[in-house]
Amino acid sequence: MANRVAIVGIGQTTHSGRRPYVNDGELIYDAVTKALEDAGLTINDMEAVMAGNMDFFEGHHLNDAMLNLYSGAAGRPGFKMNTGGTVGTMTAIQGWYHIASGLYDICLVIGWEKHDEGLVTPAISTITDPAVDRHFLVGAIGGLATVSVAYMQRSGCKLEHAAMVRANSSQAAHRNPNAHMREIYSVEDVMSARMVMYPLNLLMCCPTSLGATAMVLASESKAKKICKKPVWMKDHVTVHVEYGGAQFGIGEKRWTSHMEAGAKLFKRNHITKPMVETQVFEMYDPFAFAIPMWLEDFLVCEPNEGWKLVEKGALKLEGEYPVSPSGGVLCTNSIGDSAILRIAEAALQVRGDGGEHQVTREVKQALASGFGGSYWSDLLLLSKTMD
Amino acid sequence: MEAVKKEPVIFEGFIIMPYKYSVGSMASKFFIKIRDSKVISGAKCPKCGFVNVPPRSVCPKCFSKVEELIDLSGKGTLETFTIVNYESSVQAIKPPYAIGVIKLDGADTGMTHFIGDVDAKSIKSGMKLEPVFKDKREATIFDIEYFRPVK
Amino acid sequence: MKQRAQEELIYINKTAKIPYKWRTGEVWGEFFRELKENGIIYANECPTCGRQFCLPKAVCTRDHTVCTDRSKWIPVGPKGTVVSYFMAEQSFLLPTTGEMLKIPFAVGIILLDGATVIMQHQLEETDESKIKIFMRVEAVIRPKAERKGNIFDIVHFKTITE
Repeated sequence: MANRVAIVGIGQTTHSGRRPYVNDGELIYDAVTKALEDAGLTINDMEAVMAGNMDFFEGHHLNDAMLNLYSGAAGRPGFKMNTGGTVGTMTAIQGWYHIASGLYDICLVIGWEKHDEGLVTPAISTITDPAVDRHFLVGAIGGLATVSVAYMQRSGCKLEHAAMVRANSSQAAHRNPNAHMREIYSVEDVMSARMVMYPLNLLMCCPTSLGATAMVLASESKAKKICKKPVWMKDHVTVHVEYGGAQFGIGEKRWTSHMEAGAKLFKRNHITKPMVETQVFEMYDPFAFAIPMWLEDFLVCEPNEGWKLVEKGALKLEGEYPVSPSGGVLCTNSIGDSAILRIAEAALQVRGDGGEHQVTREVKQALASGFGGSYWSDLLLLSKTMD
Repeated sequence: MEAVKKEPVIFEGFIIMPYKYSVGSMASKFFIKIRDSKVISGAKCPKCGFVNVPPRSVCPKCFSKVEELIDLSGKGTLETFTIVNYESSVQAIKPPYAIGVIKLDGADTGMTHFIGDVDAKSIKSGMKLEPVFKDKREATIFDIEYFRPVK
Repeated sequence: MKQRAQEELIYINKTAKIPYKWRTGEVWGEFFRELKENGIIYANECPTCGRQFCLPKAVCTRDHTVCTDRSKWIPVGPKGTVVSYFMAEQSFLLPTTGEMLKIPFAVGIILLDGATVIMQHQLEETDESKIKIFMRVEAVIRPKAERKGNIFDIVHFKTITE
C-alpha cells in the first residue's frame, strides 16, 4: 500500500514571452523560493529534489546538473525528468513515488522552460526518427493538426468551436496574473488569425512561454503539521502508446493513451460521473481542439459531445464544469513547466486560492492532465480530503 | 525462417539549431565590467560572505539570493590544470592548449580559463597568475585571452 | 521600468551544428534496398497479431514479437487512402539540414492498400480545399537511376480518382 502524499507548498513565476534579465537558474530559484515560503519551510528541509525540463530546447543537455545550485538539488538525491509535455506531471509523480514508498517525507518538485532561448519546432522535430518521420513531422503542430482534422471529420465539430474554446481561455487567462497571453479575444478575433497548419491558426496553437513552477510534497504525517490546506494527490495514471502507428489514435479502432488513462483512473476511484464527482479539470490543452476532443478521450464526457459542451458554455470558468480555468496551456506554454502548472493550478482551486480565476463551485476533487509528444498521457486526481 | 540481410542503411544528417542564451542581469554586469574596465568581479553573498566567480545569483553555501558584485584584482593561484591535445569541433581554440582552474584572490571558488605565455612543461599547481585581456573586447569570457604567470 | 530598458544585457548567440550518421537497422535497410532496386514498397507482418506495418518494424510494439522473418514481407500500395493530413503554411527551420521548410507543405497520414498501420509522407496537392479525408492517393516513385535508398525515393503521393 502506498503512503499518502499531499501538496503543501506551491510557487510559480509569472510567465512571459521574453525575459532576458533573468537566466534559467534565476527563474528556477524564483519558483523554488516561492514554494518554500508557501510551505513555511527552507531548502534544508527538502530531502530530495526532482527537476523537470526538456533537454535541448534551450541548447543545454542534462541541464539539471548545470542548474542544481539554483534548484537546491546539489547534494541531494533526486531525478531529472525529460519526457516532453509530460515533464511536469512526471516530475510531480516522481516526487509522489519517493514519498509514497515511505523512504522520504518531504520532496521538492520543479518544472521549468525558457523558450525565448531556442527554437521549439525544430527541437521537437528531433523526437522522430531521422531517416523518415523527421522530414514530415514539423514539430508538434503537424501531429496535432492531423488529429484535429480527424476529430472534425468524425464528430461534427467545426472551426468555430475551436475559436470559442480559445476565446473562453483568453477570458480565463485575463483573470490569472501569472498567465502569459492575457489579452481577451472574441470568436471573430480567433477565426481571423493567420493560418499556420490547417485547421490550426496562430491563436488555436499554444504560445511559447517561459516560466517555472515548484511544489513541496509531503507525507501524511508531515503534511498535517506543515500545512492547513494540504491538497492530496489521491491517484494518478500514466499511459504510453507506441510510436508511429497508433499516432494519437487515428484509424478505425481508436484507443488512445488518454482513453486508457481515464478508464483506469475512474475505475480505480469508483468515479462514474466525472463531471459531477470532480468539479474542475486543469487539462494540458496545447491546441484549441484539445478541450472538446480530449474531454471525450479522457472519458469525462460521451463521444462527440465535447464540442456541444463548448457550444453550451459549460466548460468556461463560470460554467458547470470548468476546464483549464487558469487559461491552460493554450495561453501559457513553457513546456517543462506546463504540466506541473496544471497540477499547481488544480491544487490552488482545491485550496480555494485561485484568486480572480477561482471557479464558482466548491472544489472537492480536481483532475489534472499532462500530455507528451513522446506518446504518453498522465491523468491525476487531486482531493481536498484524504479519502 | 529467412532472415533479412544484415546490411543496414546509413542516413547522414545534422542537428542544426540556433540559440540565444540570456546570461541574466547580474552576469551581464560581470561581462560588461570586463569589456569596459578590464575588471573581473565576483558575487558576494550578503548572508555568509561567500564570493563566487564567475558570479551566480544564488549562494552555493547558504542558498541566499546574491545581488552584489565586488571588484577583484584579477590575480590568482592555479589550482589545477591540463594540456589538451585532442581536437573536436566544439573547441573554442585549436589544440594544443593549456586549461586550468584559477582561484582568484578574494574569491572562494575557482574559474576555468586558458593558460598562456608559458612552456607547458613549466606549468605547476600553485603558480601565481594574472589575466591578459584582448584589445578588442565583446563582453564574453574570451575578452580574457588567457592567464599568464606573474612576472 | 524605464531604468530597466536602459540596462545593457548580454546574450550568447550560438548555432549548434552536430553531425550524425544514423544507422537505420537491418529491417529498414531491407525496406530501402527493395525500394531502391525494385521500386517496391514493402510492409511486414507480425506473426502474433497479424498487423502489417509499413514502414516495416523489427519488433511488434504490442506483443514484442520479433518480425525479421523475410517470408512475412508483403508488397503494399502503391495506392492508398488519406486518413488524415496537415498542411503547413508557415515555414520552420528543418534541423536535419538547417534549411527552411518550403511552404505550402502538405503531409498525409496514409494507409497503403494492404497495410494496417499508417505511414506519413508528402502529398503532391497543396490546395487545402482539394485535400479530403478518405481520398485516394498513389505513391510517385523516382526513376531507378535517381533512387538513393532513402525515403525520398518516393517523391510524394499524388491524388488519384477511383
